[in-house]
Amino acid sequence: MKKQIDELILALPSWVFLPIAIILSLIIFGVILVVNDKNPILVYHEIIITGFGSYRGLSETLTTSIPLILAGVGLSIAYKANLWNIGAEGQLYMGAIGAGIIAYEFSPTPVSLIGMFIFGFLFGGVWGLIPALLKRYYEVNEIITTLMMNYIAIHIMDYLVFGRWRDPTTFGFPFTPLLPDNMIIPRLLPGSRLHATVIIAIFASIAIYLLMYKTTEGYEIRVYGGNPEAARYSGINITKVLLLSMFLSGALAGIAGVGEFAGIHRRLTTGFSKGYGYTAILIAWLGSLNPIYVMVAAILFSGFVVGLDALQISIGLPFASIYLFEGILLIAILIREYAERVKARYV
Amino acid sequence: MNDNIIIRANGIRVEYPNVVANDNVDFELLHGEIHGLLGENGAGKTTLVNVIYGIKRPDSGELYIFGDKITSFSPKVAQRYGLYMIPQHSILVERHTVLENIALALPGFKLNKKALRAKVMRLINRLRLELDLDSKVMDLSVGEKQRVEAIRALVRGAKVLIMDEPTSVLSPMETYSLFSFIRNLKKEGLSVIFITHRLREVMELCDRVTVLRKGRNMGTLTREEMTIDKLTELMFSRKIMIRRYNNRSMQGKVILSLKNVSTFSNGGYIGLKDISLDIRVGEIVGIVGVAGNGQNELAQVAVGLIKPHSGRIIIDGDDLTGKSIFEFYKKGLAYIPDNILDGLVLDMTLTENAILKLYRTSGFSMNHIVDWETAKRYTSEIVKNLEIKTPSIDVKIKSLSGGNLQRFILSRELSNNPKIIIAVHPSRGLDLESTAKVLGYLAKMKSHSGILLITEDLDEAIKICDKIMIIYKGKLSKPMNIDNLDYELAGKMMSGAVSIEEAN
Ligand SMILES: Nc1ncnc2c1ncn2[C@@H]1O[C@H](COP(=O)(O)OP(=O)(O)O)[C@@H](O)[C@H]1O
Ligand SMILES: [Mg+2]
Repeated sequence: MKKQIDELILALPSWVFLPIAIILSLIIFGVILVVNDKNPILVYHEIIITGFGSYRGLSETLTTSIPLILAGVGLSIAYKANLWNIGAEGQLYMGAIGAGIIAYEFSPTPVSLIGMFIFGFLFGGVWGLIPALLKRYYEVNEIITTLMMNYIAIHIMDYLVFGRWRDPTTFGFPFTPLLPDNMIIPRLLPGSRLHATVIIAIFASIAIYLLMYKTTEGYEIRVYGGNPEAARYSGINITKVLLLSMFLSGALAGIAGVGEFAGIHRRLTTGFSKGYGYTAILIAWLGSLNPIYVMVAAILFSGFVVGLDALQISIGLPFASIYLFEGILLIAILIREYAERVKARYV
Repeated sequence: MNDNIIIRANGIRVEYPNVVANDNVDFELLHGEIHGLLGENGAGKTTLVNVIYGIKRPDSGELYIFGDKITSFSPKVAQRYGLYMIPQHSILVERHTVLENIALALPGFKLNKKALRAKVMRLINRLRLELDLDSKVMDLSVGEKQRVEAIRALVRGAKVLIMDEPTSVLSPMETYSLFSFIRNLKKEGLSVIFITHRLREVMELCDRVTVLRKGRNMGTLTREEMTIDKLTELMFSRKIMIRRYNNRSMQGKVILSLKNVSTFSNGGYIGLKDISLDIRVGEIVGIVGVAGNGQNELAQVAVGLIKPHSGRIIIDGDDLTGKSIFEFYKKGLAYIPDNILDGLVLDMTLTENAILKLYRTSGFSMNHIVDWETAKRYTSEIVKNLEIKTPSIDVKIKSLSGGNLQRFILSRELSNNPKIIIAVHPSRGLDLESTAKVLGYLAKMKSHSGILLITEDLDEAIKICDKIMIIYKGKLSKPMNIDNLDYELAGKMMSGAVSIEEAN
């Protein structure tokens, strides 16, 4: 069986693996729909119409995709350097906390919003930098540190929203005060939550693409990720590669946090992110770690989620459907990784 | 058929894409003997025992174990006959105790630990081992782990133990203990196939020895027939005709010199011991030695990858001691590493690999922006220079064959008019024709560079070098001029039969 599968993989060109993986997950999810007495064709049709086919849906899709694009593109830098950053969630929280410092610790000024973005960028970046430093100087595995630091960030957020920054007028609810108008990220379209961070996200995808493929720094990151020995051989400054890629990775997640804070919720709460930092891991791989594809993957995925979300209410799909689909997609991506490894073995 | 013969191999032939690893090899293992398998690196020793142990099916030839003709090659079959291979690097479970590891090797779930302990204790006592069955494997030395592996095999009913270069990971003291352990195994009636590339070890331990060279069996000697001279002669090809690349060029100034360089020996590195050498423009200096004697460390020190703890490295009059490899490259140094994969990123294209060292020099990038057009033009040149076969320069380099990868690195390193070339095994893995091409290319380069060639192959060094130096256990011999080279002495120094100090 394994042999036949391997032979099939070898016979196919590599570019078909991703479409096949996606179609495979749609089929598996379709089977689950059938078992639940839903017609998958109708459901998918509805999802596409809702997620992409209407003004409301499409703008909601783009809104949802903002944190996924930013964090996903950030992660793709780290993954290209072969650094297993699974701390985008924590870096996103720290970005929001950084923005919160400007919002709640200083008196408002006309440039507060810009300050929030800069602080979010730096806080997220530093949260990514710490694991890089620990790896470089103490050989601590970054998977562990990035994961653990997620919890630290989440608890710092809890500490702030329950304590120092709690809105005194909410009678004990863990909320911070709503942001004043001049600290809210402007919305772009009438009747929609789409905020200006989407421009930053698109800009960031293009910029990171150029960084990775056109500059010497991006080249160094890719060489190090492809073969650390070759980086050593070439005389690449490995410290620089580690620090730069993890800083940028975290900083982009940090911006995502600012966007969610000042663009959507307009205040900080517990459970502030809906696991965007983890979903972004999936998005980064779905987009083959290429920032432009990552952006596309994030938008497509968001559309699916928005459509599914709407259907949960209208046709009574269980709430966990999104997570289920996410899980299936992950398995499909792992299958694609396997296929590529099989291919690599024989060429 | 002689009852004493445990294993008989007739005319074993194993071919790999670039090399015949075993060429019509006959081999016999007798009951209760310690049989040495001696040969240089790449002679085909591992391949032969892989055939015997069933890991590798030979392309032709026959194998008999206890008189049975083997048709299905697999370690399971070999183990059924009582053959066990002791891996060089232990595969024991580090966090478990010695006894637990031994228990793990046994079939079945119901284990009487007490009975097993008693059995193992008896075995250990008979073999005069000192081994605490309850210590964790991770607390054992490499040598002790090897012995635990052996005990495991014995408990499973081993009659023959195969050890592939067990001493290459051991200190002299541990080697000594291993030898007495092997002798005790023999007293227990076991037969042992002992692989090494060190002459001295064969002389000390083995009852008989089979010498391999370039995949051929050069002869099997008994204890009485063994002499250092005889073994050296069999191991190194003295009588082979050697064609020299005889283009003498004017010798210029000293371009690279190491002065009294020493490095620490740790983490698998052999320390270099007070090494000095000078290379002039117009000459090729060969460093010849059996693998693992410090030649890799020497190469890495000479290019700035390892910093020496004492001594100086001078390039073209400038002291570069302690500088990074990039500073060395800027002085016009080219480096072909021992493992070519260390100089390549397999998942990147030919173009991306071509600029691995040049990307930050003017022409290839400006203000941190890589100029891919220039890079592509340059890559096309590299590909043309050494006739590298590739569908395009935009494919991932992993799609190239091994020989083409080797040529790619060579072409890349030699194409920028280097002043110093450090080449480690530049012909490894190449067929005869490509080897000739590569050596010819290097010989041509010496008109305007100084070349340090590191090789395990004395013949190759003789073909192309002006001087050679032998490296053994981190020490370097005086340079010997190739025209009046004492071949035998060189061979003896390589194998440690004559020490570097004696010769100097
Ligand atoms: N799997 C393989 N593929 C290609 N060539 C191989 C392989 N294994 C060994 N060789 C080649 O066969 C020759 C003999 O190798 P080996 O048996 O490992 O030698 P030894 O153990 O004496 O050092 C060498 O030239 C080596 O490069
Ligand atoms: Mg070997």
